[in-house]
Amino acid sequence: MSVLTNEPPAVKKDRVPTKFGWLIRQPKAVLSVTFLTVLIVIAILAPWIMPYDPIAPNFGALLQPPMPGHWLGTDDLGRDVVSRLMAGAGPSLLSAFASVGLAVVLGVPFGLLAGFMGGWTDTIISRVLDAMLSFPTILFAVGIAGILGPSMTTGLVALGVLFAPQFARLVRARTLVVRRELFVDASRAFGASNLRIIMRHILPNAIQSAIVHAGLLLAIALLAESSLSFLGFGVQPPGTSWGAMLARAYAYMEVNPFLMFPPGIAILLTALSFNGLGETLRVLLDPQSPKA
Amino acid sequence: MVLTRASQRMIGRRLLQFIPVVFAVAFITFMLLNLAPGDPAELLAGEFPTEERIQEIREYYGFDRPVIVQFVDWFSSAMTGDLSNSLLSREPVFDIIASRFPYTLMMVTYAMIIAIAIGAPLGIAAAARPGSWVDSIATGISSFGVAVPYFWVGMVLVAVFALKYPIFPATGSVPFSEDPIGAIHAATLPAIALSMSGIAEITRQLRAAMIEVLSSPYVRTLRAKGLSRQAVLFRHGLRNVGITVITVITLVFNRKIGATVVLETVFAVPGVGSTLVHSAVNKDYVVVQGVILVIALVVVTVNLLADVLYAIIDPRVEAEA
Amino acid sequence: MSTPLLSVKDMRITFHVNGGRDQLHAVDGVSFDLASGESLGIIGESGSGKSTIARAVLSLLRITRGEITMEGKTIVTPQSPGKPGNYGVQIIFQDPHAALNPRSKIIRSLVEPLEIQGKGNASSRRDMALEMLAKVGINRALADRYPHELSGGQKQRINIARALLLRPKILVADEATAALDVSIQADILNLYKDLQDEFGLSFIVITHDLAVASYVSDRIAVMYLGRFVELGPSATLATKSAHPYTRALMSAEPEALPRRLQKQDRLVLRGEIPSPVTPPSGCRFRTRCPIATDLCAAEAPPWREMSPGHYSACHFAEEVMAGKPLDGSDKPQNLESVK
Repeated sequence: MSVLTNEPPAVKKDRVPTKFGWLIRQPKAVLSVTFLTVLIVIAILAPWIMPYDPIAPNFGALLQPPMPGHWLGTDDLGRDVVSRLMAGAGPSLLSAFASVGLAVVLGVPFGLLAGFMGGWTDTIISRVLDAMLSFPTILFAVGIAGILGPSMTTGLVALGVLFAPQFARLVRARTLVVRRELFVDASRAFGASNLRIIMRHILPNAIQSAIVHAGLLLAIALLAESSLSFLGFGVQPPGTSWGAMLARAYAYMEVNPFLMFPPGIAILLTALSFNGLGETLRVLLDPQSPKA
Repeated sequence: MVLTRASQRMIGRRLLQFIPVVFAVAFITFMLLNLAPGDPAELLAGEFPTEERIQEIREYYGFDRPVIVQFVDWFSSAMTGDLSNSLLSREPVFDIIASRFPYTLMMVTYAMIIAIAIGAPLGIAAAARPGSWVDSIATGISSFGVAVPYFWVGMVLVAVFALKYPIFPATGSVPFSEDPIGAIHAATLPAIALSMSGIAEITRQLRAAMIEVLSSPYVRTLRAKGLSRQAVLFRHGLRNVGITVITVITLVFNRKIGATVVLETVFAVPGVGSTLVHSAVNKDYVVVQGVILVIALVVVTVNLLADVLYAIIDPRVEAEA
Repeated sequence: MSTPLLSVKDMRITFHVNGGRDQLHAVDGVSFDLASGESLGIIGESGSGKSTIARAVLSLLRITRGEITMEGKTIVTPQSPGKPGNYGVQIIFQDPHAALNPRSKIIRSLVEPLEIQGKGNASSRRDMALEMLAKVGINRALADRYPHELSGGQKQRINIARALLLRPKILVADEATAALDVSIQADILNLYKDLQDEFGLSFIVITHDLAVASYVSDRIAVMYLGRFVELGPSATLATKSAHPYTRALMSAEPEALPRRLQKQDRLVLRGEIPSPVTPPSGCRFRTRCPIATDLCAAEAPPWREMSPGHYSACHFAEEVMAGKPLDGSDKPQNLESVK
């Protein structure tokens, strides 16, 4: 799949001595990384910096519009929306990172194995991957959550398992190329074991496409987790996530439509930043790129 | 149409791969139920099961037999269209899915049409003048389209076009066979929401493919020979991006089928997706299993058709596979 | 006669092609000995199977018939493939860049063979590697660079240093200079000679380049379509070759010949090397041989010793050795009439 971004403007090489030097000239990359950093800091510090309790109801202030003190208003139980956004950042980000991380951990070894061993091992793994890729993510995750019982863990494990074949495929394709490289033969001529060849030579030369894909997949994972929580199959009350906030906003849409905007925009901006991060990684790790 | 030998061989091989994939899809779906901790019969018996009810279910579904025997039995029934009966309504699962599927298909088709109608011109226009303001807008729209939560777009659309200005209904759906105009009218908001990522994907992939074709030496020669920009763009550019078009349409279709799960819930459309959510909430595992199997088989079949189309358009694709 | 250092006996290497339907004998019944301190050149066109011999000697692939012995000890048979790296044979590949992991610093690539064979500890391995770098003429400051920062010649010296770290008795050079500039080729070939003296190395030099082979080799084996067609001392092959294929290779590269032979006959081989899946009957070279007769299609020529240590597989070896013209002028049959 070709992912296109604006080609970075032709920067004179002699003026850009390092990758870092190139990086800080890219407004998209700088914005994405800054936004995500601030968001992660907020998510970690949330318990100490939230202005109000995000869980306890306040029946004296139901569905308030934005005002001083409640800068984004209050929800159907009178809870401060700013505080809930902060509280929801952690579970939302954690789900995205954990599901993508799990997908990498599960997918990469199978991709290496299939590509390296070839033959029947490859055929069987490839057919199972084809089969797994035929299950639409949300659909399968809802099914698993329904059977195992809904929770944040079930949701992120289901997503991780379903994302894993994407990494397996990418790594398999690269492994097929790298295993024929001469340096692999050279290592074998010194008596290297298969395990050593895979870990020392194949993995470091096959992982780049997976890293780039992980960056782009974070956005998809965030949207998927939000969908699951929106449907009630993700983070369970009293915990909160942006998707769960949208579900409440949906229920009170006719009374206070404003409630849907804070979590919706939070998800949108975070997903945009994940994509920015992924594209930045792609340019940085691509040896064809004039910058790297 | 006469197919080349390479095309025939590739189609043959894809058909051969189709069978084990269908088998694996069925096996994974079947094993889902066995993921659950404890006895599936107890699971199926509901919240307050009696011992007789559990025993009845165990015998009815044959849970006392080896798993492989159960799978072969289930698989052979499933292939004849017997997906067993709902635990709640006792209706055959196949009938439930068959009655709901038209709504889902209508929504997905509508969304695909919107995505192609907006994404294709946008991608072509952007590729015609890379770096221009049209290109910037196209790139911006595609960045937004992949990052925006589509169900949130659905909510915003309802708030504006159903609640504030009641142009479209907020929820509900009309069968296409009874009232086509009403059906299209009712499906407009969900279809727009559903088309978001499709617009983005079609725009960006078509733009990339067109730029690649237009910068090829062959096309540069045509330009040098004096053919107009438009002629080159439409006559040669579009003809050579057929593979990309099939790839992206297949991809978008597969994603949309999954996304209906959420959007059908937002818009209360009685399709397959909302049936799945409803069944998952009510622990009607047999329906959950049936829906997942049918949707996955639809996706596998669409992928197979795409592969066959590839082989017809360009048999060289085989080398890559 | 003393036991040779390396002995390859009747080796055959089979590949399965076209999805396992067809068999291809890339090497089909090859035997040779290598004495201690000797250099053996193996020359042939691409597709002749010469690189397959290199890989088999390294145990990088399995043989289907025959055996390989080292100082009288059997190390490779079809039943028990050898363990690469632990019997004193190392290899230098054609492409110096591709032989180094692009994501490892030079020093990391250098210490790898020592790590694998469990020699020394982390710091002594580094010392050994840096010492070896000096011996092949590379500044130790380059050890912390990445491969793409170095030139082709530098990288080939590093590959040589790395192969030598395991103190092999035999170094196989598989087209090891083909990817380099001519001036650097000469440097590397001279380095081989120096190393041969310093480490008492034996060489197997695989090449398509006759000039390279005759410069570094004591003996040369000429290979065609999986078989040796001629084997003998370099000087003998240059002056008194007993096989038309060798003569053809010589005339294609006049600078490799002594001046007095250069004007003799200029023979350019016609056609492509046939597919090894369906080799010609009898003599495999007959489809491109200017002096082939019906006998060549009917019978495979025997491997005959023409003079001590000089072997040829040609029905007309004596005549070729005596200087028979190869332009077909004295024969009624020429290439076109031979099937």
